[in-house]
Amino acid sequence: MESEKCANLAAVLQHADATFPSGSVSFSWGLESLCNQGIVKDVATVAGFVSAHLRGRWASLDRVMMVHAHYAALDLNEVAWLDMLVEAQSLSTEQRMGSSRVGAALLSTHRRLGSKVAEDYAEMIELGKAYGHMPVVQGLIWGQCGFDSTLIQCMGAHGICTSLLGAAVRLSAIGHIDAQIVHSNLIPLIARIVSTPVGRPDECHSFIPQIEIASMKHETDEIRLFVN
Amino acid sequence: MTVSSMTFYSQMPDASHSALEHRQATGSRGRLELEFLRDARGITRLGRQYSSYPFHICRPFHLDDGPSEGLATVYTQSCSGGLYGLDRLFTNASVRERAQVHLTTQASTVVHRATDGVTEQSSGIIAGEEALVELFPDTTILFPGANLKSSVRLSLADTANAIIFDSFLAHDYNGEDRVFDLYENTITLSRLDGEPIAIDRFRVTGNEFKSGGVGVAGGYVCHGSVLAATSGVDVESLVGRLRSSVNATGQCTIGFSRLPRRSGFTARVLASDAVPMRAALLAIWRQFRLAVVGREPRPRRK
Repeated sequence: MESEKCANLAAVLQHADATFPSGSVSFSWGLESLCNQGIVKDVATVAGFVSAHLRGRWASLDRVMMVHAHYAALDLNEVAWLDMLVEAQSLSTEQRMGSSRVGAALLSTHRRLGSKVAEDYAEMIELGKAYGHMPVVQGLIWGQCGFDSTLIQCMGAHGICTSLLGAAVRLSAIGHIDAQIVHSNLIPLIARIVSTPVGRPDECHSFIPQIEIASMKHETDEIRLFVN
Repeated sequence: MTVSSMTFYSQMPDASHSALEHRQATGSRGRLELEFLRDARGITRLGRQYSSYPFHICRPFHLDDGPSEGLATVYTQSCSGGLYGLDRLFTNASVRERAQVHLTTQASTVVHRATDGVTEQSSGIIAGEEALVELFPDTTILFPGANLKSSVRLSLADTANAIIFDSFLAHDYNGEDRVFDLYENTITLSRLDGEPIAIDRFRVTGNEFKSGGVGVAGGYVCHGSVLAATSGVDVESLVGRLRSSVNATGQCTIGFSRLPRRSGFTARVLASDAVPMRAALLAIWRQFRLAVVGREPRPRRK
């Protein structure tokens, strides 16, 4: 039993690790634009930015879709409906494109690892029956790996934090140690969010207007290190 | 704050506290039903109509010229001095094939403290083939303690064009720092079969909005959003024109983007108050109309 727990934990660490090929290192989710505008520039503003992402979108939209996708894994049409809602609620083109590209990369890796559900869902995307957005694919795939709802939420939140903080370091807004301080300070927030019951998928919401505007402006920014 | 909203404040009933208290205890159940038809001369007329308190509608005006000279402009008004707790207001509008309509308000809508319960308003609009619908209400002003749940659903045919504007700000009439309790807002653009094109749904407390956090309101106090579905329009070019012609000043910041499947565009605006917000939304409206019918609209007086 102890060995089974250890194996599960080791698998969580593998799939949530920043080196797992999920494609997320190419995305800043609006941060690059806010850095270019001088709005995000130091530890406090980076912390505010990541916190806004977690509270304003991930908690109330991405997380909800992820959990519902996890429970809907036996019915891929239901998963595709969740995917359609994410598509409709991702108003910025770069947000939408980034989410589907990360989802596609994750699916592609799991297809190579021999995942049947990844194979089937990738086929639906190829047929135009689904979009493959990041939170939906995460919920679907990680659930099939045997992780429970709480674990996949922690993995999702961890992924958002490492992706955004990694981008902040690469954009020279903060250093590596400060990134870890910010991450540590966000853990109580993540725990509060994950312990909150998820809502209905058709009631998902988000409110990060300054980040959305930044993402929209990034489409025409001349200085671009990241895809979004 | 706009001139129109200031006017509106001055027109607010200076309560009769008992009437106000009664109103707050029961709320209104208002219903507005409208049907717009295009006649043989190409003029959009108001067909079936029904309104109950507190709704009041003016007769349609035809204010534009050129390709949209038949477009009907309808001002909806409220007799009640704003929205109160427990109010339930419903609007349904049907814009038939090739009809063109611009629905707007006479002034800002103020939302009062929700003493006894949530204030709710919902609108459902259907746009037929080749119809044009513009929904352009003035800014919603959320008073301290307001708790508003609002939804707009616009379902349109593939060949229809539609644009929805939405904006709000928090205002404390005592000049203190009190804020609204909660604002839940959903705007849905969908096809007639129910497939969503775009959904903008948010839920924000007054404290979250006023805190001005990075990534959220960023220090601005007025929020606006636009969803537009277009047919036969080069969306990429339109978004390019919007970016070059709708200038953000120091008083506001604006983002534009294409909607999924190039079915239209969206805009998000944050502004320091309602004046730059309105200026930005009007500029977006002019570009939308120019792209859809080939001529800019005439200004609406308020």
